[in-house]
Amino acid sequence: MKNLATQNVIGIIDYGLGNIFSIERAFEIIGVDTVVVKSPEMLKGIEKIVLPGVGNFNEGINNLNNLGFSDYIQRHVESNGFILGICLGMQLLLTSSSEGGGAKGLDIIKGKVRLLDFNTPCSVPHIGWNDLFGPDISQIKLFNEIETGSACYFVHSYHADIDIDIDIDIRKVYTEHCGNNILAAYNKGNVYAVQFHPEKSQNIGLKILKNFVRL
Amino acid sequence: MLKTRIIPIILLKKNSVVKTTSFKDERIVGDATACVKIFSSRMADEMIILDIDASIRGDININLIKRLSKQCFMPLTIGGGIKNMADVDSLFRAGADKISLNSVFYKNKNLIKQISEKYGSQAVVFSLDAYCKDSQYFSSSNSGCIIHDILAVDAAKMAVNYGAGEILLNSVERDGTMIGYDLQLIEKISKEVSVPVIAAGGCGCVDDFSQAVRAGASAVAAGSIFHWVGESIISIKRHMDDQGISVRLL
Repeated sequence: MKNLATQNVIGIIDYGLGNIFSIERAFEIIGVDTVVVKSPEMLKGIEKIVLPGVGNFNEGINNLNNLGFSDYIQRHVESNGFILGICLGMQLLLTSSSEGGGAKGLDIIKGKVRLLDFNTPCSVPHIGWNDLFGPDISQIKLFNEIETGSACYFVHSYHADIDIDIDIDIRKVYTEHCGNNILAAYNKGNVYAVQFHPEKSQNIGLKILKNFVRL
Repeated sequence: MLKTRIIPIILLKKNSVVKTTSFKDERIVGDATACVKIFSSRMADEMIILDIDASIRGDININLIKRLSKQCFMPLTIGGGIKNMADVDSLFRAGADKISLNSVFYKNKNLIKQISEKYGSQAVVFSLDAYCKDSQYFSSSNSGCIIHDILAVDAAKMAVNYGAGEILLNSVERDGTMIGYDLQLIEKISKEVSVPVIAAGGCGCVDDFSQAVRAGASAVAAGSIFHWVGESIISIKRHMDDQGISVRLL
């Protein structure tokens, strides 16, 4: 039997990158207990994990590997645990990244992380509030009661490019920048990931975090 | 479609919020925590907090930043007095989403590179204080006290090459004057760099925001219009929306 005390706590992985403070604070606002974990042992018994992150892909994956989180996350996902990847966290779940010369990711979702590099004149990084859209939005529980056209806060130079030929059962949400559709979120089984920052997206972001807690 | 951001700039001196004119004549306009709370509740799109005497004091008030970021439920850029990676790490830990660099850039450009390698270039804002002399724009630092012989446009390009992901473009002469943004400056810089340019300095009425956007700014920042005029963010956004500019209306 699961320990009820830890079951409802959200585990936030601290691997030395990103604004953990804001994520803790956002969960605090919606009245959810969190625990910031610096080693995988501390995640035992926790059903829902948040993998945040702002920064370099190479540094991120190296830290996850060195701290032992990579193996833990793989097993967590295999045993149907829930995970929410945010920004770099979303990208680290993919196969590899072109950032830092093709570093390997967690390979939980098939795909590659690529630089936002468009043929049209366009400002990169993609920074600011942008709309969410896509037919899958109403089918993803994370976006329960979130309408198409809701704006969330993005700040990134790389984006997740999912290999849709392999992962046909993956659900996707998009945003648009300079005429190009960029993946804003994906979901496969109990794996959820968002490119934007729910912890910085005010009421809509809080709603998304609440939805994650209620999964 | 990406929305144009409206960003209040809060200048800190000790625990107070101040407002300057041409980077001088500071006047206290309120308490820092109260100010951050108000902008948060009024749903600004981002917030920039610059500690203007941190360089002179020689330290960064991390505890204050931490208290403020706790009240700020929106993307937060912090600047002022940053000297090295240790400062940067502690600011990210304290709740900063982006770091803004000005004076240190002219001494140690590699800091931008270091930050962008660790946190990504989207987390580094180059704060460019342009000073107009003989109808040319020069870069300046140390609260506009030191004018460098590097043209503003060259400083902007250099910062982007080193890894800056955004330019906070301020005009020393227009700061606090409320006579409108320096549109020529905005046009010049935003044409030459691929990263977003945040216009600052001189905004005095709602229409100034729209003009800065038409001149090429990706985002518009202001201080005086909020402190002195009490203009609300929502009324600015409605005006911009009427002008056909995409904003987040909520």
